[in-house]
Formats: sequence, structure tokens, C-alpha cells
Amino acid sequence: MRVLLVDDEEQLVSTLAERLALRGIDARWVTSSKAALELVETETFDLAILDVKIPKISGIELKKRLQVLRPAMKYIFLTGHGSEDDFKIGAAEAGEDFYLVKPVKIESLLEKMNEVMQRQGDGK
Amino acid sequence: MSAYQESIGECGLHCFGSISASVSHELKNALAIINENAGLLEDLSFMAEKGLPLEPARLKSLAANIAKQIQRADGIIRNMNRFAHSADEAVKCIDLGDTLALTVALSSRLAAMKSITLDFKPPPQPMCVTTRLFYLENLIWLCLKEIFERAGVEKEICLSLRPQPQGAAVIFSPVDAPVTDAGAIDLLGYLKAYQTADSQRRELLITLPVDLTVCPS
Repeated sequence: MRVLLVDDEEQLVSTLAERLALRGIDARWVTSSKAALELVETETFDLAILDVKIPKISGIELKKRLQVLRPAMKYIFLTGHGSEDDFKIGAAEAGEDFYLVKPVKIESLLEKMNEVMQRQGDGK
Repeated sequence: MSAYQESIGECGLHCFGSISASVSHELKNALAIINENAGLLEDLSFMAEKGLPLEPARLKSLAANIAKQIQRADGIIRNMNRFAHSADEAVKCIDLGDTLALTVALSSRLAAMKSITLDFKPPPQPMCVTTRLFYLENLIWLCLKEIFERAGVEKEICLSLRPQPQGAAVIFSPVDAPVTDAGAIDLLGYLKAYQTADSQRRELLITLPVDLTVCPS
């Protein structure tokens, strides 16, 4: 599985990428939406894990632009939103995608990653 | 309570909510980094148990990352605590340099989201005014929020202070027009302050009286 991580917190994405790599997942990371768009023009990913609040181009907007470039790519959103209400609002914004609140347990993330990829396999 | 006082109270609550949300978001990011670094330490320990070599330099680096984020989170909480306590305070003499430095720190996430660099130049000498600290912080926050929204290509906003014959001015630059936010306009009146836009110098001045309690309305 090839995964793209996008978050403006470099230490967060670089460490998460390393942890995914230890689990046999090929993860690349960038810290801006612009860099994500440039990378996706030349490389293919199965899944993108996006922070919702990325400066300049938000995670939600980035997803819309990435979908044009790679229609088959799947998405998981990460957010710093704290409350249950915020979570619901965010989930609604993210459409049918998966949504996790920071800080995320790696086991929960892996579970969601499998779930989203399985959904792809089902053709949903 | 008059409708005007009610409007000021609502404005204060709105700003308090917005600032708290922004701060909590930043705090979540610090916690998320600590979480990943601690998780990686756990992963490496697990691998070491299985016989893979563990590099001391790698461990030191991860521990340093955690310590850095704890310091960051502590700074965020200290700033939020100062801001929260300002809501308890009545009219008092305040150091404007300290107040601006705090508001700039609280606005850092808001600025980052717009890719704006926010710079504060502290005055060489302390500048003090007697005012309502909480509402002054709210006013500066609302001004910054509007200025960020219309910043366009100019991505560096500078804040400074200048003594005025009747008090002191908080200066935002480069800014071409006065703020129009209804809450900010109400707060200007409440703090007996006024705004002027200097189009030649591209500055917005918020002039505060030396002492709110003796300033005529």
C-alpha cells in the first residue's frame, strides 16, 4: 500500500511515516497542500491521510483537487477538533471519508486504513 | 443590562471561544507529535527485544522531540491561562508591550493558517495605559482577524506601539483601511479608543486613552 501523509506539522508526519514504514507500509510525507499536489502529479498513492486544517489550501479543498488528478485514491482525515460536535461537523464536511481525531493511536489508524482499502476492494 | 453592554459581553464571549478553539487545536498538534514520538520509541523498544540493534542517538533525538513539544504545550497553556485570567480583571494599569506580545502569541495559529508572518516590535520603554485588559485583547484579536482576511499578497503584518499626546497607539502595518467588524467597532467605543488609517504610511492606528476611567466619552 502506498500512502501520502499531509500535515503542516513536520515532526508529526515524518514520525508517523516512519512508524508506518516499520509496519511495511510505503509512506511519503509533505507539509503543504501545494507539495502534495506536485507529488501526486508524478506519483501514485492508494491512500492519502490529510490534516483538515492545512494552511492556505485546507485538507477538504486538497481532497477535491487530488480527486481530479487521482480519482481512485482514498482518504482519511486527521483533525485537532476536540469536541464530539466538532467531530460530527468535520465528518459531514469530509463526506463519506474516514475521520480521526488527533492524537491517533497507530492501531486505530491501521484499522481505518484497512477499512478504507477494503471498501475500495468492494467497489463501494 | 443595556443592549450595548449585552453586545460587548457577547463579543467578549465570541472572541474567548474563538481564541480557545484555536489554542486547543495547537495543543492537540503538540500532543499528537508527543504521541507519535512516544509510539516510535515503543516500536523501537519492541524491535530491540527481538534482537534488532537500538541506536542511542536515535533514542536521544526522539526524547528531545518529546521535550520540545512539552515545552511548546506548556507555553501555549501559560498564554491561554494569562488570557483566561484577564477576563476576571477590572480596569487596571497594563503594560501594552506585554499585552500585544500575548495577543500575537495567541494569534499565531490564525496567522499560520493564512500563511502570514506576524511580527511584533516591542517598544524600547514600557508603555502603560489604564484600561480593560480582556476587551483590549479582544479588540486586537478582532483587528488581526480582519487584517489577515484581507491581507492578499502581503504576507507580513507588523504590530508596534507609539506614544500619542493623549495615550498610546497600537499600530498595524501595512494596512490601508480601518477595520469594519461590528464587534471591533463596539469595543473601540467601550474602551474609549478610536481608529485612524494613515494611507501614506499604510498604517492603522488604534489610539487608546492613558486612563479609561478619566477619559471623557
